[in-house]
Amino acid sequence: MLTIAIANLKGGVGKSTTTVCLAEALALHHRKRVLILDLDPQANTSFMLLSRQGVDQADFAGRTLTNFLLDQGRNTISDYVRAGATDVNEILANKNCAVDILPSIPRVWFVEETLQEAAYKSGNDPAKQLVKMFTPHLAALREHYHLCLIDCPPGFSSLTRAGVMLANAIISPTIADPVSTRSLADFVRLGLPMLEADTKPHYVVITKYQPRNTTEPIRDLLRSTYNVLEPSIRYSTHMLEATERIRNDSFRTFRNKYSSLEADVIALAGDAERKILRPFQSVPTKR
Amino acid sequence: MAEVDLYPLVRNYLNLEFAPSLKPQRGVSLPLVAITSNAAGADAGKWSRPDLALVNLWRHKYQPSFTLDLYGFEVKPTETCDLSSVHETLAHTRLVHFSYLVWQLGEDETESRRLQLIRDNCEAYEIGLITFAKVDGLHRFKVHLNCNRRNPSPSVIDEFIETRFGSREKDRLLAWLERQ
Repeated sequence: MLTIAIANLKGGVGKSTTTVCLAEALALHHRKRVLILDLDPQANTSFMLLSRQGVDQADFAGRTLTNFLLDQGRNTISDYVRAGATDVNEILANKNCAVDILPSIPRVWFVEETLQEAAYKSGNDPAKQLVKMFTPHLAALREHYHLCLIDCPPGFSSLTRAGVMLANAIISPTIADPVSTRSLADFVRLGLPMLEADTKPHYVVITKYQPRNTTEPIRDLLRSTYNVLEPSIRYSTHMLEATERIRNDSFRTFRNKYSSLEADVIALAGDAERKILRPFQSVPTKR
Repeated sequence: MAEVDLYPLVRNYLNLEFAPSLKPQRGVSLPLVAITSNAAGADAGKWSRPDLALVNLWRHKYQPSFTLDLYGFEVKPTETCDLSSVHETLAHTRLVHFSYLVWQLGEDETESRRLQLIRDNCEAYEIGLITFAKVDGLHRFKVHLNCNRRNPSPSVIDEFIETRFGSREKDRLLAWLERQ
């Protein structure tokens, strides 16, 4: 199982949207079984995939990241995973692919605080403790999933650091603007070496792209500096509608969901499959 | 692979594929899986201990009351599955509503005579059969036969859950029953 962290210092650059798009397109168009770990207390990915109602149900059933962390990983992680976490009919109908999620809820903030406090008191790094907690559980799922996408919170919280440490590769979504580009540079220059992740394959996805005289040179700069997955995802209000799920019993087709962005989302997943998944599959020792 | 080493694998399958398939499309469900092979019980003999159990509390959207279904799973590694495994699985039907034999298939056994024999016997006794094997690096499970629902008395079901599930699972079940 390949593990990819979707991470960046800056918020609002499309980490959750990229996670959802990649998961659904890789599942449907490349027959992948995908597990998403939503480590972000904002829980955007969980709301996008399960709806608010679905997240509330997962919370009440005790099946969230909060419960996994509070139980200190004593039970198997699959006890907390919500299977069939998509509203795309074709994925739900096909047994050869899947999009499942360990959902987050905002209470993760407080649980993270508690874990951090306990770890620091005992002289440990909370991120390393989280890695230690997750590692055997992810190993136990390696024969169930082709791919694990970890949606990390913005910044450098313990959960973000753990997500990056757990990953075999990192994807950083970014917007082609000066602030996001500088933040990305800081993440790559300072963050990845600090997490001993600077040797891991790192890719960039350009999101919310609006072709203009000011954005095109920045996109060119990003392309010449980083391994950019193509195509850029255009800015579109349709993406907001695509990634919103009103109810957990509402379903649609992939085409209806992504509409005018469908071809771009499929092409982006194809590029990720070629550049990240395929090379990983040909290196058996890294599995 | 020893039988006990297969339990986590089967547990993951039950959580990630089998249990979700039980959810009504518009209703709600709470499936909980436990490894019960070493759990206590009023009668904890060899033929009265499914290796894993799944309790599923569910309700259709426009249905006023919940249904509780209890599933038992007898896990067998490649080499140890035979007719007595079928009989052992059948014996569990006095404790659970649905009883399944879960068998790890060996190489080239997807069309074997042994599979046909086991399948025919499961069919005759109206118990479930699930097999699994590694395909392209992933374990793929296949439900060959579903089990016809049995009707052990509610007190037997209660006793099973009370003595073989952990306090965490029981608390969740009770919380759901109280809230819904």
